[in-house]
Amino acid sequence: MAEDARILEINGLTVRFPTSEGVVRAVDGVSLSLDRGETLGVVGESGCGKSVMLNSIMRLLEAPPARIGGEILYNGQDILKMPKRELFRIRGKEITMIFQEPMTSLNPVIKIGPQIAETMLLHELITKDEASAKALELLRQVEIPNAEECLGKYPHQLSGGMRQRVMIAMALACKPQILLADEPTTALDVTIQAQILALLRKLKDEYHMSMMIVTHDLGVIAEVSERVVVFYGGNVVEEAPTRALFDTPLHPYTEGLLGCIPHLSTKTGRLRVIEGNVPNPIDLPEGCVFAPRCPRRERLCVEERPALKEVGDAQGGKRHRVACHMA
Amino acid sequence: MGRYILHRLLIAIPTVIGVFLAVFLIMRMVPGDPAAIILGKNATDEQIELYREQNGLNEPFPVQIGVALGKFLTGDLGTSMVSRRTVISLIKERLPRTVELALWGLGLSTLVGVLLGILAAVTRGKWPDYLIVGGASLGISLPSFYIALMLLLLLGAKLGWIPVVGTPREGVSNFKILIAPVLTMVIGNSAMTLRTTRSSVLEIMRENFIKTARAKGLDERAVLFGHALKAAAIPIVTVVGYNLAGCFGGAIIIETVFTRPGIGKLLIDAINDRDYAVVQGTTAFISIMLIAVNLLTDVVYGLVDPRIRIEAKRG
Repeated sequence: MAEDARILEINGLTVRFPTSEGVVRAVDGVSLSLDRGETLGVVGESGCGKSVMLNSIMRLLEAPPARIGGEILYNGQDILKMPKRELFRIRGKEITMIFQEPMTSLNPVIKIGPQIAETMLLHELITKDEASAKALELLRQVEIPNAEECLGKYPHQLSGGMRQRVMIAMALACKPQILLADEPTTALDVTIQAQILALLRKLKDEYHMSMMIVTHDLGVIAEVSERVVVFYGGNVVEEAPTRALFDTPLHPYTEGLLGCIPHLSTKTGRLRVIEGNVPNPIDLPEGCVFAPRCPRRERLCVEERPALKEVGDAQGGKRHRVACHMA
Repeated sequence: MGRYILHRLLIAIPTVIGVFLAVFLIMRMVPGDPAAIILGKNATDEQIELYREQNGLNEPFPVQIGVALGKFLTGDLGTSMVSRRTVISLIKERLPRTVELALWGLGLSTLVGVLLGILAAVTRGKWPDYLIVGGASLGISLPSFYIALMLLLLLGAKLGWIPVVGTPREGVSNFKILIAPVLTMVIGNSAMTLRTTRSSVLEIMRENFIKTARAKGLDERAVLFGHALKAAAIPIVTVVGYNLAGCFGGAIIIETVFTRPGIGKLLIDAINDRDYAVVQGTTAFISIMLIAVNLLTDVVYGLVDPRIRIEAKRG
C-alpha cells in the first residue's frame, strides 16, 4: 500500500496508568492505521481501551499520570513527540473529536454560536462576523431546525440529539482531515442514533474526511464503517473489512460478540453470552488476552501472546488480520 | 425576575420585624438599667425614676414593644438616650465609614482570593498550592479580633506606620487609618473565597466540556480563562455575597479594635450604654443590609449563569 494513503498510523501504542493497586495497562501494544477517506470502526466492550486509544491520538489524556508509549503518526509526524505549539495547531483544525456525552460536552454558560465560532477564530484568519456566519452555515449543514435561533441559545435549551449535532458542527468548523468519534450515539435515543449516523456518513463524504468511530455497538459499525478493528483487553484481536468481519469472523471473541446479537428468528429463550469477564487490566494474561474465556483455548494460547497475522484474501486491498493461534 | 425580586422583598418584611422584636427582648433581658448607666453613679433614685418615666421605660412590656414597633414601621428609629440625636442621623453619619471599610475589604479579599485560588488550582499538588492552601487555613482559623490586634500591635505600636486610634482626623491620611482594618478583612475573608475558587475550578476542569475546549486546540490558559472560570463563577459569587454580609458583620469587631467610628462601633457602644433605641435601630438596619446583599447575590447568579436566568424568566 502506498505510504501516503495512510493518514494516521499507530504503532505499538501503550497507555499505562499507575494506580495504588498496580499499573493499569489500558492499551497494551496496539498498531492500526487509518486510510484517507476511510471510516474505521473500533469495537469492543467497555474498559477494553478503545476510548483511551482514541483520546491519546489527540493527546487528551493527562500525562502524567498516564504513561504513553509507541508512536502515532499523522501524515508521517509523530503526534506524541510533537511540540505543544504544533499540537495545538492540529487539534481542532486537522484532527477533531466528538464525544459520548453531548449533554455535558458543551460549555453550559456560553451560547452555541460563540462556541462554534471559537474554533474558527482560533485557527483561521477571519473576523467575528464571518465566523458567526459560518457557524450558522454549519448548523444548517448538521440539519438543525431554526439554525439562526439556535446560535443564540445555551446548551441546556437543546435536546441531546441537537447538542450532538452542535458538537459535530463544531468538529467540522475548520474542515478537518480526521474526525474522531468516541461513542457518538451511545447516549442518544435509538431513532436519534440513526439520524446522527446518517448525518456523519453524509458529512464524511462532503468533507472528504477520514473518520474513526469508537463504539461498543456492532450495529453502529455495520451502519457506517468500511473496516473494523476489534479491541479486547487493550489489544487488537481482529481487523477486517466490515463485510468480511460480519460474514467470516475469525477470532473466537469476534464470533462471540456477533453471537450475542439477538435475532428475532432465534426461538430459543436464552440469550447467548460470552462466558467469563473482561480481563483485569492490572493483571493481563501472559498469553492471549482472550484465552481465559476462549472455548478453543489450547496450551499455546496461555503461554504465548499471538501476533496479528494476515489471513485469507485481501478484499480491495484491505487485509483481514487476526491475532489467534487457532485461526 | 421582577416578580421574583418583589416576592423576596415581601418575605424580608417579617424577617426584619422578627429581628427587631428579638433584639428588643434580648436587650430588656440583659441586666443593667439604662437610666442608671446614663445618669451615672451619683444619680439619686428620684432622678432615675424621673428619667425612666420620661423615656417610657416604666410602661408595661407589650406597650413598649407596641410603641417601638409602631415607630419603626413608620420609619422612625427613635432617639438616642445618650446623645439625644436621632438614630437615623447617627447611622447616616457612621455609615460611610463602614461602607468604605466593607467595600475595600470585600474588593481586595475577592481579588486576592480568586487569584490565589486559581493559582492553587493550576498548581495542584505542587508547592505553591500547599503554601496557599496552608495560608488559607491559617486565615480561616484565626479570629478577626486576633488578626486585628496583631496588626495594630505590629503596624501601630511596633513600627509606628499607622495611628493606634483609627478615628479620622486632620493630618492623618485616610490610607493610614484604613489599611489595617482592610487588611484584617482581607486575611479573614479571602481565605474562604480562595478555597471556594480552588475547589470550584478543580471540579470544573474535570468536566467534559473542558475536554471539548482542549480538543478545539485551545491552550491551557484559554481553557482556564475562557471556559473554566465562567462556569466556576456560581460558587464564587455565593461566597463573595456571603463575604459582603460578613464584612458588615465583621465591621463590628474590627471597628471596635481600631476605634473606627462606623456602624459597628456605634452598635457596640450603644449596647454598653444600654441605649435601646440605637441598638434596635442599628441591628434592624444591619439586617436590612444583609437581606439586600443576599438578594443582590441572587440577582448576580442570574447574570453569571444562563440556566438560572431562563428559569427565572419562566417562573
